[in-house]
Amino acid sequence: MTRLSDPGEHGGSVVANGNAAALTGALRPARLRARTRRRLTGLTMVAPMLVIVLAFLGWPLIWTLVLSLTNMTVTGPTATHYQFIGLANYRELFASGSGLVQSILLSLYYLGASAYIGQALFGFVLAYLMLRCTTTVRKVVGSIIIVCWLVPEIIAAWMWFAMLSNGGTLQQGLHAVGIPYQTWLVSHPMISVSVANSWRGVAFSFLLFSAALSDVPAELIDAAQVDGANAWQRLRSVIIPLLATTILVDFVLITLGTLNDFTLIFAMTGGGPGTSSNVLSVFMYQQAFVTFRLAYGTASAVVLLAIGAVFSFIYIRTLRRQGALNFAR
Amino acid sequence: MKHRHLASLGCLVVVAATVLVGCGSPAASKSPHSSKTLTVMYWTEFDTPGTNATPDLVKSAAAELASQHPGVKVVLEPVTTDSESTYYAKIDLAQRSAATAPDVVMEDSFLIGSDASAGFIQPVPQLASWSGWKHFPTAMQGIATYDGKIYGVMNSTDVQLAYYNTALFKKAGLPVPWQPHSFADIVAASKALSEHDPGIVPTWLYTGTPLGEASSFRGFEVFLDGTHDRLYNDKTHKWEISGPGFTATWNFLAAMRPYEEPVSDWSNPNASATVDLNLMPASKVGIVFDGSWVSTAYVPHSLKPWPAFFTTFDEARMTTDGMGGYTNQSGGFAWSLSTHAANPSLGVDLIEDMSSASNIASFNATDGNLPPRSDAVDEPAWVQVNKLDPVLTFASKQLVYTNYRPNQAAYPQVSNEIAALTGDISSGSMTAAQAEQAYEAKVTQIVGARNVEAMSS
Repeated sequence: MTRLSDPGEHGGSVVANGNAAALTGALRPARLRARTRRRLTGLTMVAPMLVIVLAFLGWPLIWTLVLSLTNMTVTGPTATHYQFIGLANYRELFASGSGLVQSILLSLYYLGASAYIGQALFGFVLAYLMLRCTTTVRKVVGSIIIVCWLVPEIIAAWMWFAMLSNGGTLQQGLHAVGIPYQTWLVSHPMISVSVANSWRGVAFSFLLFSAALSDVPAELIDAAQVDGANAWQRLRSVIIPLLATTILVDFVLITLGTLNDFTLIFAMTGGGPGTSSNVLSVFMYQQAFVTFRLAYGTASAVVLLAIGAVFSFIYIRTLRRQGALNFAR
Repeated sequence: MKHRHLASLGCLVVVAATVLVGCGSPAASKSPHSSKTLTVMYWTEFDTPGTNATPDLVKSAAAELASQHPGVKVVLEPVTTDSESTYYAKIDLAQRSAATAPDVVMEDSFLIGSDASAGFIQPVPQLASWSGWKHFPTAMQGIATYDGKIYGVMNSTDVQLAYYNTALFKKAGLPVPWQPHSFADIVAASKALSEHDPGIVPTWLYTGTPLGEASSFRGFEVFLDGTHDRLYNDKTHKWEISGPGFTATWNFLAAMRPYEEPVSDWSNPNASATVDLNLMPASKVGIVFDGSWVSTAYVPHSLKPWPAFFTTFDEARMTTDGMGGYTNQSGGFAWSLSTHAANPSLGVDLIEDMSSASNIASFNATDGNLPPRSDAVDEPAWVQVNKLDPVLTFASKQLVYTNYRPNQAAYPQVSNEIAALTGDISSGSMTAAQAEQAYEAKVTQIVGARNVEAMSS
């Protein structure tokens, strides 16, 4: 290790000698030296990025953790003169009646319904079916799906609000044909926001899977077909294993996006009625900026962060086991 | 392997963290406070009528200030948000640092105590000797006072009214003009409306968390003001959590449940548009308890011009619960001086200029609120707008009965609990007795057992 940390001096002496015997003797250190230099070069090149990451991501993260241990508020006596109160915010969060557990469950519901089913599964089905469609159908349907994705989130939220609310498009349409409609935003707020988020986000998974599906070699499918595999078996045993990495990458991105989603739910239901769509991100906002308990809201943000980290950890492990994600090699 | 693993996990955690952390520190790009420049921070809503009222007011006062103090510059710092609560959070975050704090700030009156105790705004005792101060009624002075010190001057205010549809009232056999004198009178009128026309919303009461402050203010507190109880006792410095008035108010809300708007109407953040722009113009609602600004949406060149409003709806005063007389509750905005103000006396001069009778009259004539200054009602601008909108004249007369919210740091949290409980009653998930108990427990939890007391009758 000492040799590694002192490469310049050692290398200098080797070159100065210019001696064949010495060169042979220094072969191992020379290789080490080269590797060290490579690492140093690499480190120098990523250093600016590292500084940026530490300054703009690392510090806010640390500050968030610190803040969550205080009683800081947006206004009131503890806004500027706040104290460290240890884990009191977390104790209050995890005590019964705080609403945190309900919010976590709602966030997981939202993740399951709108990300896994509405975006990943539905996106995959769409991409798979589109393989069989004519170019015209593919172009038209593909464009429509992508337009949903291009619509800014707040506009999508308002559109769905106008669609599902009392006196909204759906109610008036159904009434016109004599079907009674109970306002979905009130009777099924979680289904409403999940449908809206699926509608908005399916394009991303769809595009990812379309690209991956077009890379599946036709010979493999043909071979499986020759071996007597039916359509379901070809999908299950040939296509899905080949797409495993894509699926996991999709999961990583949509999981974080969905867990952190705030705009859509806040604009459509405000977390209500009551607290029936109060997912963790809305809970966090309400604590920090509606009841003005900044530190308490920050503590709930840390909980949200921890949940995101657990999911990321599982995905990364799985990806590693598959031999994908080797960027650190 | 292990290291790489950790590194990639680290990267992901950091990426996730930034997404979650969200709020960064404000950019300190502003010039430092100078003794010749005043910055004024105020709220503007997204493009709605009256949006220019505040900048016009500041500019008009700035011109007057420049004539008194040559060379003084006033810089406008509008904060545009969709909701008031976002504005509160933004100005409070800005006032944490001298680099981002303005010199003069527009404060929602119910946060004056809270922001004063945070050290964001400073006391301005010199206002007591200002010639204009005596024109502000006691309630309007008190609303801007915290801990015995003056923290600003009210610029606009409001009262609450019971708007009722005269045609629906006549149809239901109810007297017109109508003026309730107790909670029971309101329930009885609502019941009559409901029986004669099942297709309408008999009475609109703000309720539930999506409407937040409106639900606790107009759906609970203004009724509690009609009893002997109050949220906060200024003499003992304790929060009242129960008493006969609380019981009467919770019971009143429970009694109104069959006659108020359905859950689907109140359980979204756009409910006030539902009642003001849909139900009222369609004559689908009998009584509406709302702020004094409602009619300003119907005058010519407004959001929804509707001249027939002034013949369709009439207004009743907010009643006490059988105690005789009337009550009310007011909010509104005030101008305050930031703790970071470089030249406090210049800041006070600007506040005084903005609070002149004519400036306050012009501002409220455009903005649709009520002038908190009694001599402003004779100003030409205010007289003019009252011809278009006679509701404002009636509303101004209610200011003598008015109350205001506790100037306490815990108020936003208490208010949030009240909003939630009104929603629990309206959705049927709580009875009046359960809400009463839950309120006692929640407020005790928020402010601590030492800071609460029960009202005796």
